[in-house]
Amino acid sequence: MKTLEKLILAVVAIVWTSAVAVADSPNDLLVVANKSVAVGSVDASEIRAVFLKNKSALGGDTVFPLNAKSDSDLRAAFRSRVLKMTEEKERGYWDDEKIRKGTEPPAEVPATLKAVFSKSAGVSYVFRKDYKDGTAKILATFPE
Amino acid sequence: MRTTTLASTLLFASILAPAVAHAQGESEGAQNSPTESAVVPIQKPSSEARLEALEKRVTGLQEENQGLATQLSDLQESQSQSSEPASEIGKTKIFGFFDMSYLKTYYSKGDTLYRAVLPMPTQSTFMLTGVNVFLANQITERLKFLSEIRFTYLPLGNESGTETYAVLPNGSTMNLGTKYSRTDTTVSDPTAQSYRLGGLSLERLQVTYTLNDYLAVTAGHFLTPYGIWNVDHGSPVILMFHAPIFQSVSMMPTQQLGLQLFGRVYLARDLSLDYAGTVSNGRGPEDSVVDLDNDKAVGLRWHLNYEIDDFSISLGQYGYTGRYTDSKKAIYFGPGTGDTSEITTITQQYRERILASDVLIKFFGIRLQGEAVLRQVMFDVPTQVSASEFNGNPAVASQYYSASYSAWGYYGLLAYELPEQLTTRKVRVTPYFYYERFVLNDTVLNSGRNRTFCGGFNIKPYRNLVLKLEYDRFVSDDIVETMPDGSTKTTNNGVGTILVSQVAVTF
Repeated sequence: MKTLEKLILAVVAIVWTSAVAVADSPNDLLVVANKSVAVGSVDASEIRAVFLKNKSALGGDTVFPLNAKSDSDLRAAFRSRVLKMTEEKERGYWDDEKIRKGTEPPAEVPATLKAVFSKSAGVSYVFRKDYKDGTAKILATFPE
Repeated sequence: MRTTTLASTLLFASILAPAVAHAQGESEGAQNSPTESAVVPIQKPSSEARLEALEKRVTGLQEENQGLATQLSDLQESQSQSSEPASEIGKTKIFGFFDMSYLKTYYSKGDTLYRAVLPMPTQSTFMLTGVNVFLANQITERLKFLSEIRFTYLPLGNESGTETYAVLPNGSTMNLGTKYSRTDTTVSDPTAQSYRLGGLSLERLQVTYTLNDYLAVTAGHFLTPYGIWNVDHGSPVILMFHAPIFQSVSMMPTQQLGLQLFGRVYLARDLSLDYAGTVSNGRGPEDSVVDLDNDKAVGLRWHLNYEIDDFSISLGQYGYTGRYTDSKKAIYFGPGTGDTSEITTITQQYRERILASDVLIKFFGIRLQGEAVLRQVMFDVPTQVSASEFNGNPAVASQYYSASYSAWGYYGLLAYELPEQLTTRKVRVTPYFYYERFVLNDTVLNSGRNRTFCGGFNIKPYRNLVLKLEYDRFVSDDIVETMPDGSTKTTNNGVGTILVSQVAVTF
């Protein structure tokens, strides 16, 4: 009987731990798009390609990437979780792209969610804690 | 009219209604109070109760005030922060780069021929050739203008020709018909102030219309989409100081005037294929202005890219074919001819086929890079070189002149960006090693065959600043000469060494 109790307790503990592990965190990074963007979800490599201007469309729709301010925590989170770059690397990438192709980095906005809400085809990112239901479409989530 | 009257009435009523209600309320209050006062005995609240009520009231007002302040703050923030990004449409951006070098070249003893032919000065020298300025304008969301202008001190000091003498077995010398000259651009204004004029070179002048990821078209003077070096293009982007010889001598045209169609398709999640097609004037004595023949040059490019986390590989090719034509014009008139006529004579014409291949592998800071170029030149009208230009000696002339030929070159580059733990987070240090082999003309045995070894450091202390320290060693193949009596003479062509440092800046 005791063994059965222990087993049940262990199962409960595992389930509870798993539930906590996958629970939403306020600092999860949500990649969001204006509601005019038809695509439902995208993966990290597609988002990376869009924000490095190697790709200009998602699911056939032309999109406009919008970056958070360069020195913000939000931008730092996006760099490390999606672009897999340090700030220096990202800056270096754009310096080189300017010389190679004359390409400029995506525009920076102070309030990404608001910008995506108002900019048709806009794509950006926001922390979950700052996301407001119904304002934009969530394309991908990158946990904290 | 009736609608207006009705609307006015409703508006009037809506304004009047609250006032009437308020008046009624006051009236009712006035009517009720005597009744209430009659029913409810007047009880004077205690001081403690009144104080408590007042405290509650103050707390409520404070909370209300706090709420209003927050609302005001939000409002001010939303007003100060534009929700839409500032439009980049129509704004002209100016940026660019320049570099300065300090170098010293050494040659092995007896290496006079090599020393004379190479453009590198043997004395230590600072070297600054110019600045590249970019002007970019996103005309519409799909249309973009880009120009790259190189302002340079050149042609000041441009050297051409080498006065060359062959020393015959009997000790006499023979001038091989070439002449040395150096350009001086000094001019004086009316006040006798002298200046040295410079020049400018339009590296790129193009407009690009992007339909979608799959298709875009560039019209103008564009960089030939081949290899790695030519696309990286600028000294701050390029890892090394020394450029591959096939790049320096334009074995493939570095720029073309015409059209380029290009695009990218994703074959899988992390695998993309870039492609391009070019139609241009091709190579010619003035190809960036006009073409001197009707034969347009065409080129095709494919480039596969695979990237996942810290590993990426890309490889591609660009094939090009075109015709080079040079000509001269003459007008014939006078009593001996029926009508005045202009005659255009082709002085040189050849078809060329070029294939360039490249591969780049990057993983965990290691960079493996290689390029190869193969060029075939087939003359239709060879350059008019006669034996008389070699003092009437056809045996010598034949060594310095050949019709159709092949040229090729390749290099391999290994570099490693040191991890942040060994440097600092901000400073990027990349040591590199390089090997190159080229043959500029396979029908000429005596020159243009070389191996190059390089090693150095690329240091990036700041985002916009690159320092390079490099050691270059050029080893030429032996010279095998056929003497007038038919015998051959082999000469060690020696070794050239360059020590160079360069600073490259972007702005």
